[in-house]
Amino acid sequence: MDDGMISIATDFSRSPAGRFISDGPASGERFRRDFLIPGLQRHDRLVVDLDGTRGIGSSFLEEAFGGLVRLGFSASELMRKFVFKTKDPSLESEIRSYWK
Amino acid sequence: MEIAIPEADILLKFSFVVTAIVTIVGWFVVASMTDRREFRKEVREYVKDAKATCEAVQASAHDYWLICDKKSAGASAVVLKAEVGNLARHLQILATLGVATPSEMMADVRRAATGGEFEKKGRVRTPVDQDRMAELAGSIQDLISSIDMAFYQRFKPRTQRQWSRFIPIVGLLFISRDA
Repeated sequence: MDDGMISIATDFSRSPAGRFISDGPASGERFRRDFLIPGLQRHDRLVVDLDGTRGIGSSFLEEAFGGLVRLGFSASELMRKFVFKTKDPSLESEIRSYWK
Repeated sequence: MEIAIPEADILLKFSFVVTAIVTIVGWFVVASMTDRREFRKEVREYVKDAKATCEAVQASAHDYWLICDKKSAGASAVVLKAEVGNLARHLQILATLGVATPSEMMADVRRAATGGEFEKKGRVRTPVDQDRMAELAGSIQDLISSIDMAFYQRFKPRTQRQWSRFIPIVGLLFISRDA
């Protein structure tokens, strides 16, 4: 199985902020477009490291991860493909709640 | 009621052993009770800190959603995210100390504090922001209740765990039966 790895803090931004691209350069929409969608297309499983940032807002998380469902990815596919690496279990449960 | 008294010479022969055993067992009991009491105090301090952080999250959210202007919104958002992160860390520490709360509760707090139009450029205040504050207050109350419940599950009140207080009664029953 081919695993991809994305770290929000090192690959994207230490200060992810905002929902849409119009809100700033480290928005959830941009993260989804530039990292999550290509990662899902290239790999069978995508490991996302959520640690190391200066805090992640729910608006960012909802747009980045919840937005995938709005773009047509099925909830079961997302549940299967994503693996989260984090010290804070509430981040993972929040993200998965957007796919239910 | 008659109470059986063993013969005096047997008691005298082994009295030093009984005394030593009772003393050693007493040390262990006292040490373990002291450890438990100190550990309980430490955990209670963490619980207090977690509750104070809940209040800090509420205050920062109030500042971001209802008070700050466009110029200070960025700084206010950073403070709010830091406080939410701080609360999440407190809950992780409490979980390692045996006082675990469901992760969905922290997710609810984060969603209420930093969801919707959080960090939106040029955000304007709307009546929905008041509803968000009410939602956040409810989520925080649920979380605090859950922390308290977990704490008292971990450190049960005295009446629920002190089965040892029945030992003398059971001992008396055995002695009277033998007699």
